[in-house]
Amino acid sequence: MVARSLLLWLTLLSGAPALAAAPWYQDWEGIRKAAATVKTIETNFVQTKTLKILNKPLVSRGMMAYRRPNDLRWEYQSPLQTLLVVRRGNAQRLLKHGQEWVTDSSAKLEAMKIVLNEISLWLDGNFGASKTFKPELRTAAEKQPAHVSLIPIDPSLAKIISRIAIVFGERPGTVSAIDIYEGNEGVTHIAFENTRFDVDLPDSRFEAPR
Amino acid sequence: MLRAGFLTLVLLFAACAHLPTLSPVAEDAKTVAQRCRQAYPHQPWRATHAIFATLPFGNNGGLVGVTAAGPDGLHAILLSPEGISLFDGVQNNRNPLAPELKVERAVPPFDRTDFAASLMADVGTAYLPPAGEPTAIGTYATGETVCRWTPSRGETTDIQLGPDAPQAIRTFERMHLTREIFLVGKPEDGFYPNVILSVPGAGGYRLEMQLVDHE
Repeated sequence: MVARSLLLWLTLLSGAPALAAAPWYQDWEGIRKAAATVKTIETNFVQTKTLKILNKPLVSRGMMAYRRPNDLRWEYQSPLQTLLVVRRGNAQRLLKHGQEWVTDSSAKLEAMKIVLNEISLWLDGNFGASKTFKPELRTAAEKQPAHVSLIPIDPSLAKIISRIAIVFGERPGTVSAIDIYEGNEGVTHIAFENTRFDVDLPDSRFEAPR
Repeated sequence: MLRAGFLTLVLLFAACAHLPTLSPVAEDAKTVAQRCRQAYPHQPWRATHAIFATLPFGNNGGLVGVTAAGPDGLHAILLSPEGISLFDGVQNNRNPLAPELKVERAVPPFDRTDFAASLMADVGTAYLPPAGEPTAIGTYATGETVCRWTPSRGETTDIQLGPDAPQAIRTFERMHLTREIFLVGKPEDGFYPNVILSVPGAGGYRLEMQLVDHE
């Protein structure tokens, strides 16, 4: 009986690696193919920023919508209400002031505009096409899930953002979180939740509110 | 004709260049001063604000401001909505006439030479009480009760009281208005739900700061 059980365990253990399917994010080709299967994404996100001077992390909430090949809506709903919409390559940044959306015309941070403009490439699985970041594929390790590590190519950008980690989701072709590491100790963690795939997203989702 | 125009301009300029006159007030000075200090939170404190900035030439911008005040001085951090630190500075106010400012991080365009000092002056005016006792207490010509601090060096600060709580802070330098701050809503532990700061002049701007959280 004991011998039979032991044999069963050994069989299961030895067979386990062969039975487990290779993850979809094992190589760049797999990532691109998996991403191509996702036509649209609509998701909420929670962004947390930990600062030494605050006991509690600063929490921002928002939603993102993506439609292949490169239409994007990135909206913060609290504490500030801001909106980035990209449709057919044309980007608009807006800010809510009272009841009105106004153009965000400040030359605030070119680095962040670059990051937001890169999101479509990431969702497309097309990391290699970036002229801003050098991608490195990292397999899952202790306390660290599998992810793409993006290292800024331009040293002036590297002073502001040291690296970005794009964490893969369970469903092939998806992202579960984004971590933005700054030069100092600062990390911004964006976790996606309540994600819907391949829902019908009308053009108006990618246009500035009228 | 030209000379007459110039004279009018000079007279107008001279007429504007004085602090608002204060008339004597019947209330007890100590009680009024205590009410004026309610414009500020008790230290140590930490606060987070959502900031809508109206900048020169019709430009607008959104930021998140994190500030803290305590024995170490005044700490101010500006974040982009995406959470990236744009500015991080600490001002030691042990000597109010010569504060020491240390900039930990400033990314373009927040790395301009004069930016850190003017940001700290704005935050300090809005959230740190002037040192010592008011040098004058009185009422504006329009009837509002005011506490005034005129230090030997630096700006004069007026705190204007409303019926229930302080409702405005103004600073003046060489008799000219340099900042006007409106305290809007019912304060909680010295924090107002909305603080609106205006800096007049050609390079002037307006910051609408909505309280998100405080500790």
